[in-house]
Amino acid sequence: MIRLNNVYKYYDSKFQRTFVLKNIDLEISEGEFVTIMGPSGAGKSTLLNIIGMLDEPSEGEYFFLDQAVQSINEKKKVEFHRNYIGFIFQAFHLIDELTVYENIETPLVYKGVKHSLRKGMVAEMLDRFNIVAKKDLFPVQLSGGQQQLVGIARAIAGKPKLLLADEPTGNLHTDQGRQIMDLLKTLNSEGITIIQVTHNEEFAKYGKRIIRLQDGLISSDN
Amino acid sequence: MFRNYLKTAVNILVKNKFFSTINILGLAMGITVCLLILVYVVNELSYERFQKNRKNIYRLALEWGTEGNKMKFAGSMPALAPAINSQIPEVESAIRIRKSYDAKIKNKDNQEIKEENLFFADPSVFQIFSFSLKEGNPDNALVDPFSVVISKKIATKYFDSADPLGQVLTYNDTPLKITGIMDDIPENTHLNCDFFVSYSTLKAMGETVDKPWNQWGDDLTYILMKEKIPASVIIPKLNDLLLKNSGEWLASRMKFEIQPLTQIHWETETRGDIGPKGNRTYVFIFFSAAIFVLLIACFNFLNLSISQYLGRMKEVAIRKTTGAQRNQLIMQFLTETMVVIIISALVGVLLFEQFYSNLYSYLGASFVLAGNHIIILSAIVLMIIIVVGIAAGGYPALYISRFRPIEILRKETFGLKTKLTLRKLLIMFQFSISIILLVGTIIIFRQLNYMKNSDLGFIKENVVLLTFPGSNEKISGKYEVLRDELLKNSNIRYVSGAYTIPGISSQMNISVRTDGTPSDQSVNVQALPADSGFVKTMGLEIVDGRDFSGDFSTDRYGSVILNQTAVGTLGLEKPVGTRLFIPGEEYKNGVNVIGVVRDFHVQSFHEKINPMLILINPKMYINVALRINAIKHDETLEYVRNVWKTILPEISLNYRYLDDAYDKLYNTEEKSGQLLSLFTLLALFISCLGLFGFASFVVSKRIKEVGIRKAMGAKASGISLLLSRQFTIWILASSLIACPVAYLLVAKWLRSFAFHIKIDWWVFVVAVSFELIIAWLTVTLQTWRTATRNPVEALRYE
Repeated sequence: MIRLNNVYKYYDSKFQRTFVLKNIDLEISEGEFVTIMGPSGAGKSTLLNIIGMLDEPSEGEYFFLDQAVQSINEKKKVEFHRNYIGFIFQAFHLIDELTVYENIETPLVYKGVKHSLRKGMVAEMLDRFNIVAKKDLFPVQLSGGQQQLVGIARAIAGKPKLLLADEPTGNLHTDQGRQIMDLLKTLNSEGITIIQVTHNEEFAKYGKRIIRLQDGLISSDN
Repeated sequence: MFRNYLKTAVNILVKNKFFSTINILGLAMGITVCLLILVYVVNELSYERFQKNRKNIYRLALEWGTEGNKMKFAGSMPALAPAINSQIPEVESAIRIRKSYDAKIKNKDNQEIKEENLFFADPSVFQIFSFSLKEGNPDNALVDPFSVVISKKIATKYFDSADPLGQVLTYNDTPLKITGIMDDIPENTHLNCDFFVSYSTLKAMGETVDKPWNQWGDDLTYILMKEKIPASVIIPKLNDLLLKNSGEWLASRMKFEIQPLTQIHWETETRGDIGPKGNRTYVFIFFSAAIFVLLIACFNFLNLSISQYLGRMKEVAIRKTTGAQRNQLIMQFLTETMVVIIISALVGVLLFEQFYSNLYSYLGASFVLAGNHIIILSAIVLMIIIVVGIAAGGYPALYISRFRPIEILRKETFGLKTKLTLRKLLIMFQFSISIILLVGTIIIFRQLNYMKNSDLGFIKENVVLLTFPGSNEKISGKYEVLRDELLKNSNIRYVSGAYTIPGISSQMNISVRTDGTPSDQSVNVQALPADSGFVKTMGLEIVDGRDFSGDFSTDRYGSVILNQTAVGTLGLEKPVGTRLFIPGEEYKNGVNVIGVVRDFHVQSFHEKINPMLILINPKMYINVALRINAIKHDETLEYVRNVWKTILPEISLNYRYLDDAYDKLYNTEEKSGQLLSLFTLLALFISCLGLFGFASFVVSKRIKEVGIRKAMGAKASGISLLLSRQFTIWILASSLIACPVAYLLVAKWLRSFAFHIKIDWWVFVVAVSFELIIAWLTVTLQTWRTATRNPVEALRYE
């Protein structure tokens, strides 16, 4: 599903080049649950963003579903976002002006799902995450855990094949975190490929494979 | 998809009530003000536009006098039009139109009603002008004497049936046969006629209309040029006609001016003109004001929109990661902006509808919003919607949607520094316009104040003016009885009949020469026939010689008083005792200058003071002025009423006050001043809204900074100051551009006055300071709220 060959990411300033990722070779197959770990500044988020096509490698090749990402256009990337990739953020990143219902609906709208069909799909999500009662509330009216539930619901509403989670539990306390991780595990068992970045050793173990990054290099992969 | 955009738009609107209200209110007010002004401008510019032949219609005005001493008359000789018709083939048709200034029509109950818009006209008036006849034959309706064509409005006013063709209408005791009914003539023409009486009626009534060429003024001569022939070709032919018919002496002092029909509305110097006059300066001032206010409102809107969009970068990023394409985001932002703009436009149009009739009845301009106006105004509104929508929605949408989500999501305070320059410019532009408007308003009010309070040379208070129909000999003969009877009341101090009264525009010009100068070197002087009490009644000041007096029997017809300007114009070293020669049988032996009065204003401050000659001539009084004591005012008036009733029972008493009559000269200025200040206030208010919105935005972006500063011990006042400083610098920078522009504009306006104030530097200081104070208050109000908050709130995560 995902293949990274010799991927480098660096930033150039006037006198120096700062490497964030160095020589990353990585292959992730469909159905995997991968955890990326490492200290701050190791390049975890950058790697995740490159995989999610929010960022581009400075050098190297990236194949997503056998397509060379470095040579596809913006429009095609949007297609991938619509149909294959879902994001979960540490800070939830819900749209404050929209209700829970509308937040979940957003990706479906962009995907071009018909209104009647959309209604059913959002209802299903609300139902699944037990937030039917909260569908007309705005994000600020929810607790952190509930917001992240909405975030996940939004991420998977479009039935993506790949779910990218950047410290999904970072802003939650342990109980809420555990709940979210259980949910991710279930989603993975249903066939969604998940890649998460976390600091938390306990939550890291939810992943079937743990990749450790150190100074932009993969230090272990098992 | 569109439904979703719309839903989001409404959602955002409701969620951000504060900004939405400011946005909508600002733009709506801008649109209202703009429409209010433009409707006036459009109306002014629409004069005569409905005339199909307008490009080929001209009026022949007459310029009379020698170099430096010229006068222009709207009317020319009654013999001119027939002469043109028979001798100048380039002219398709020439006609005479004469206004009746004392028209009275009998109604069903045999009561006489004064009618303002009755004109005598040659038969081809309907061929030249686009006045369409509903009934009757336009070719011959005005051929026979005693024929009249009336408008529909008049038909319903005087007759029960809507079609009184063939019936009789009584005009000043003369029966006229109705030969046609025409559609009501639109208001936007100088020829606002309700009645056209056949010109031949004048002759039939005994008027000598075929008089020689040395009499002019009453008959407006209009010509319709043949297609594609420029009017200038007839100038030599007109001069020939003049020379042939009026002789060399007159012809050398006369010149025809060919006035295009559409220019007549703007002719302000023509004597004896008809119809409401437009003022290009005011149209220009108001049009600029409209554009300014609209620009302020639009910039305001643009500024607030950008601010809001920048606050929504995160949302853009999220939408992008959930699969939004760039053009979808652009569409969404455009929809949002359009929703706000359309709501604003609706509110604006509603407000306009509420206010326009009030405003224009206050202005004294009576016009209805006709079909054309509505189309033009709708077009303007639509244009505003599209232009503002694309600018305010499109620009930020394009700009923001370009960012890659990762750039936005990485940093929380993204967008604060970006594009501040553009918004800074917009805000500074707003400040500049506000300053210009403020300076304009202050100057207009100062000039008005100056005109009202400066020494006029006469004392305008406590003078009652009676309208005296002295052109009628029966009535003029009773003047002295009336005067003597009035003077019996001790509260009436002086009484004087007069032809000219300050503020009342009737004027008479005569040529004057001193003893020994040849007659072709005579000078044009304004004659002011008045009674011996005129100087005292008006409170004029004698600076040399003496006033008229009953002790000298020669004073009537033999003595004159000059004003200082006349002394200068005539070049008199020792004016008192000089012998002058003026036209008129009564004065054929010459008149003696017995005194000189200090110059006094008869016209407004727009006009220079004319050389003037006061002489006693009881046949010429059309006003009677009474200087009364301020006490027992009502009793005095009651006495005047009774005296009038006994002496002139057949005429109703018509009186007004000199100060009112004179101040009326500044009606336009006064009303324009008030309007402009209203618009200035609105413009200021709109820019305050913008400033307020902008300040809130800047502050909200700096909540964290403020929190940190406070945590480190900053005081709220210090923080307010910090944020106000920025705006202070902007305003000062704006004033650098605004002040010179304002100076040029007000200087141009002031040049239209022969007497005007100086432009003081402090006016600019006041305007800029006022702007500063308003901005400080606005910004402080907003920052105070933030700065006094608990810093913990701001520093809390997310």
